[in-house]
Amino acid sequence: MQPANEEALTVLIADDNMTDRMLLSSIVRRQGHAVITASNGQEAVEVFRQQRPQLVLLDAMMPVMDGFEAARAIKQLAGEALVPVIFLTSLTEEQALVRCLDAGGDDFLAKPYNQVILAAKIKAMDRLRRLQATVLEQRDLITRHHDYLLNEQRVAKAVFDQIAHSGCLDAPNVRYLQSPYALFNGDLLLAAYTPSGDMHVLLGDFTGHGLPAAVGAMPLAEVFYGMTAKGYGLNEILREMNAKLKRILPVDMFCCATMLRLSFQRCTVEVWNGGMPDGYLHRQDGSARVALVSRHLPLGVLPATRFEDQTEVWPLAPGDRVLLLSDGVIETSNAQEQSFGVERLERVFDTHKDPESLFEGILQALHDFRGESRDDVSMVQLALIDAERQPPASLIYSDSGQSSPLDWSAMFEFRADTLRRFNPLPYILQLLQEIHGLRPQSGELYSVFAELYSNALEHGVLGLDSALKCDATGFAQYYALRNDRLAALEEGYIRIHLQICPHGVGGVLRIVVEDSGKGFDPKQVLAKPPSVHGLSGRGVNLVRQLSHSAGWSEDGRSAHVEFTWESQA
Amino acid sequence: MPIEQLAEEQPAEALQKPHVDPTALEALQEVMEDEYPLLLDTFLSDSQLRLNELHRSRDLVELGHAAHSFKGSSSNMGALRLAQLCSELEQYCRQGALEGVDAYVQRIDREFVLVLQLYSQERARFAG
Repeated sequence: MQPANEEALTVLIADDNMTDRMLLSSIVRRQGHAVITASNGQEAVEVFRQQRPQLVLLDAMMPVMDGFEAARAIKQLAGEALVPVIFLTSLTEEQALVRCLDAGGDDFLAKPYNQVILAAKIKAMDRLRRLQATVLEQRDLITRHHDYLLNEQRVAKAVFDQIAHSGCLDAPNVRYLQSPYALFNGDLLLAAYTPSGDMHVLLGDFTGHGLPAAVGAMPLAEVFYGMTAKGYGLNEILREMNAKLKRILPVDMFCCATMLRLSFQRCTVEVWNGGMPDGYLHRQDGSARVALVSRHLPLGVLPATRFEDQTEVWPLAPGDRVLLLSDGVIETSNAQEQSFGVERLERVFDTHKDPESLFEGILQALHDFRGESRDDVSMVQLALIDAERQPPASLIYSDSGQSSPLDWSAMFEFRADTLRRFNPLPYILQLLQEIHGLRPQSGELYSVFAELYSNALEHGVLGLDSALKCDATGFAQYYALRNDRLAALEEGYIRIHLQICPHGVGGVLRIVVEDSGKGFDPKQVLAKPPSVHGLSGRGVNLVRQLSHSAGWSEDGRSAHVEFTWESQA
Repeated sequence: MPIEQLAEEQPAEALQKPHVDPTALEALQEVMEDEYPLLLDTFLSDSQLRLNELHRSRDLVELGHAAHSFKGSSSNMGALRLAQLCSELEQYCRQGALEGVDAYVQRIDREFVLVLQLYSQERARFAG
């Protein structure tokens, strides 16, 4: 009689005519359903309220409350669920039939009742009823899942904030803009001081949205902060970040990034851009702005053996500014589906020469263009200001210092092949960290080492002349030449001698850095007036300022420096 | 239709319809099974009530509703001529034609007498 997969419904039959009611009840029961009845509209509503049948057959004309009003009341009681209402009527006029549907009826059945048609209508209505129920169920499920996801994102963000805010985005020379949930758009902005007081900044853009985009940011941030604090350079950090992302991210995920090292001492900015929009270097003196163009693939794409870590170095004068933006800026589109584009951005640059107003200028232009702001616009502006040196964030040490080595010496010789591919400074610094008395001077120690090593390498072993760095063009030439000569290096060495001796209450560290180059005349260099804001120099004055004592051999091929300390109680 | 032609005659259309449709009765019997006699009883007593309603109606609206209702159950039970008469009465009421309404009610009375006979005979076929 009835296929097994159709369920039996409870059907409400409301008709004031007893004959019709009896007949219809039998017909519907015969079709396998349970029947409840009412003899007028009011009774129908009450019975519905109490017993909640799945389907209602309503006579249109009934005393007390007619079918139309009853239908409205029943539909209201049903709420979101679909309770099909079929009107029973011998009304034939179009008007009357329209009235049925206007009152919320879903169909009508004419008298005399045709069993076959009634069965078909009940079946069709029930299908709709079940469809509606499925839709509501899925909607509720989706809402629950959505809330769940939002909660996961909140937790992830809280964890990430712990990692991300160990940086120096609040330094006086940094201005930035980022939405609080930028992380879940894949946008990443990190900044940290190196031990020598330089600043590393990274603006990144992960593929994807939501948690997949955010989850790659955490290991990246750990590498960035950890290695920056240990004194690693851009090249090493980029290589490590690339390798890490390549290893852990799925094949189709990667991170576009611009990373820079801002050096207040040397007045330079070193840049690596892999896949991000152009950054801009705006000069205080109004000369042509420099575009910091993407020259590499994003992080996480190439295997370690093919990753390219070459950076560009640009000179900076006080008041110059570097601006980095995420692609949310360029790609902001308006109602006509045009993009904001690079031309409009450059127009903002031209009309906002005052760097203080540049941020607002860009935001206003975006707003005017589109009329609403996007969630994934990230920008950062860095200035080279003459602020006093910030103390670098101190690493957290877990040992007590009882086992510091206080009486030893070591000599390292780094030859051509090693000089080409290896930066020994982080390791040497780490070694010296074992001496607790020296830790408060980590910054100075690192700066001095960096200076001496860089001199030994560039001027000594590679034979570069710092006079080349007299203007911007010469600057670019110098660094290009540096890269070429380093790549082709076959001979040469740098020796680093370390000696630690106890001295009085504390101790003394003697450093000698010796190179295989031609040397220079230290007396000549020292005789010149110190150039504080110039583009180059052997950093001789800096070294003397930071250490206890410093000097050079007569031939200029070795420098010796001393640091002393008093031991802590 | 002019009043003069009323009185004993029934309208042409109604004359086309049988007093009882035998196939309808068969279908009803099949649906109701054991309850078929009960249905017949219900119809007969219910119909009396309907007729009373017709006579008691005070205005055309009420009369129209009563006719409509009687039309419904008659047609369901296969009393087609009766249903047709009720349908026409309903239309008259809707048109607001006060005259001729009484004649219709009388015609329905007379038709019901016949219907009552026929359905009682049918009922008698079932003992109990």
